[in-house]
Amino acid sequence: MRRLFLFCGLGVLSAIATAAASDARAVISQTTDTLIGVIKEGKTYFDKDPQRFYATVQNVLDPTIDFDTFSRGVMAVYYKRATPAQREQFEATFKSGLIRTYGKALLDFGDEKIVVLPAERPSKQPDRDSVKMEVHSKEGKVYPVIYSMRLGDDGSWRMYNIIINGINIGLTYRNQFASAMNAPENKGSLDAVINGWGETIAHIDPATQGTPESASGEE
Amino acid sequence: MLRYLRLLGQWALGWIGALGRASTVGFQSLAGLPRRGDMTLLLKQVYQIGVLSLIIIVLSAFSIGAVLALQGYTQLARVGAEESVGLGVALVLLRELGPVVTGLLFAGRAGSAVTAEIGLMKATDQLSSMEMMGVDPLHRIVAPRLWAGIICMPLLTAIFNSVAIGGSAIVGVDWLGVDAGGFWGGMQDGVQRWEDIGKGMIKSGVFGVVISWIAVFQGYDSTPTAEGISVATTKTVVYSSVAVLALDFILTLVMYGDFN
Amino acid sequence: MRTIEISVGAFVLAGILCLVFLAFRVSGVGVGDTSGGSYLLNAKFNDVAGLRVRSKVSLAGVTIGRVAKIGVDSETAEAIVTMQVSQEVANLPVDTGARIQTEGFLGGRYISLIPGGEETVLHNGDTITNTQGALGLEGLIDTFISKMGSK
Repeated sequence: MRRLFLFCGLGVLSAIATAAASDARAVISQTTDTLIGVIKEGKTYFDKDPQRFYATVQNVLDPTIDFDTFSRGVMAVYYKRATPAQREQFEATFKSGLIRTYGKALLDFGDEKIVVLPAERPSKQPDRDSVKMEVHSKEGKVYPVIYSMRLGDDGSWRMYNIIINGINIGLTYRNQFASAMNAPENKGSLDAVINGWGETIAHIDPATQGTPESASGEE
Repeated sequence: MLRYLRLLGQWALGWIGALGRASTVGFQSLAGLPRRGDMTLLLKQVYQIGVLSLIIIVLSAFSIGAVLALQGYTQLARVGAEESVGLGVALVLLRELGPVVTGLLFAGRAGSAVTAEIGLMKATDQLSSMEMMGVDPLHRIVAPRLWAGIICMPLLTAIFNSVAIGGSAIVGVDWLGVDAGGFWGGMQDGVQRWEDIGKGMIKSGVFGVVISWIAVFQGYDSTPTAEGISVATTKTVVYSSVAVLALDFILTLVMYGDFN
Repeated sequence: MRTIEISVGAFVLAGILCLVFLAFRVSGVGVGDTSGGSYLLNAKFNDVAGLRVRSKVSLAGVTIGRVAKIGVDSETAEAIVTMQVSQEVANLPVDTGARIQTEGFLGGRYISLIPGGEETVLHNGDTITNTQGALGLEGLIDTFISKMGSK
């Protein structure tokens, strides 16, 4: 599941690399291709200079994911309570947390086939669209991925949510954030939760959030 | 060989004839506008049929509710779902056991009493005397008992269900320690007014009509001897019980048909 | 005669009270029973296996509505669920999430609403798009196995 999560991360990173495409689907497509190239290259120098890889990845990430909308979706009801400084800090912690947790595993990507599916019908809203992708693993399993895309004011499409294998990642993190806010050790403090967010990301695996134990545990 | 065929035919014809007579009795009793004094008769019968059945209904209800809670708890505890015992018991009672058990008890207690009473009146010529005096026995004797039975069954079923659920609550919450909030909350969440309670009451209504009809007819149609009354009473209990169970199956299929 | 009248009256009264008890304390607050009225919200899911009409809709664990209708959008091959939500829960942001979850271990499916962070709110008849459908057991097993495999 971690690897799967990465593959999607790949798509995201790809989306970032070629930001100003007018078609959401083209964004995903081109980015995926670019990213595969970046990873192939990264394998050669990672052992000597991991920071360079992470930095490249982060640079690629910044323009293509709509992190504002994504973070707002994760903070949910607590967004209104947060100061602008806190919101910024959360975004930063979130980004670096994701890269630290999943960055290295990106290198595991080999020759898995990635298919960006053609759009079945035009989006009902002019500034929203969803792009479907399929990742074919070496074992032959097919993992469906759906990117929720949004057209920004600058005319470029950015991703603001991902659904991997039926699991809504944004909602998963939203629940995690709410759990963290309610956890006794954090005492309802936004700062405590934001500061600890990197750790939180490293420890949750989106795949397990759907199982009965964790589902009832979240209730 | 032919003799057996003849007997079979006679028996079948006898049955169809009985059905015909039963229908006549039924319709003729129910038809006809109510007159002065009919309410008093009805009241007396509701007392005889309904009120006097309360003891057995309440005692049985409490026991059944308690047992359901006990057994249900044991089985549900195996998968950690004890809090659902309230919901499970309530559904079983409201949909099936309530109407059926009340029906069986009703048939045994009230049904047999009605049959015996009417049968005795027939055997002692009270019915024929009434006819000679110009009083319609169907209207005066049979109709009140028929209506009383139809009215009492749903009421008794409601009381049965309530007492049984109460009994299960006492055993589940007070004795076995199921959390009261979970017990009642789970029940309220899952029990639906129309699907469970409503349809269960429809069943009890149907049973009420059938049991009363059988009881009244068997009494009216009995052979006017001591042995005849005894046979009629037995028939009431047996036919009513079988009818209740068979109708329950059919009604369940019809009402809860979609078992996917 | 008087005793008979009184006892019959008491009997009928008891019967009616029992019916009231059953109707209100045994079956609970259902759709349309909420005193403040309700409004409709739609949600699109890729899979609603196990969800039924009258399944509950909850927010933070509290039942605030019921599923009124389950339909299909043939264009997108998605399920459209119409929910009747209590008016007391009126200001849900447009990015509110709707997840289909399972009650305990043996329980039935229900919809859990998780409020979002946007400014604009959902109105009567709006559709929630931020959803997660029912996760079938096979899917979870697959995911678990592939997770084990990658470690």
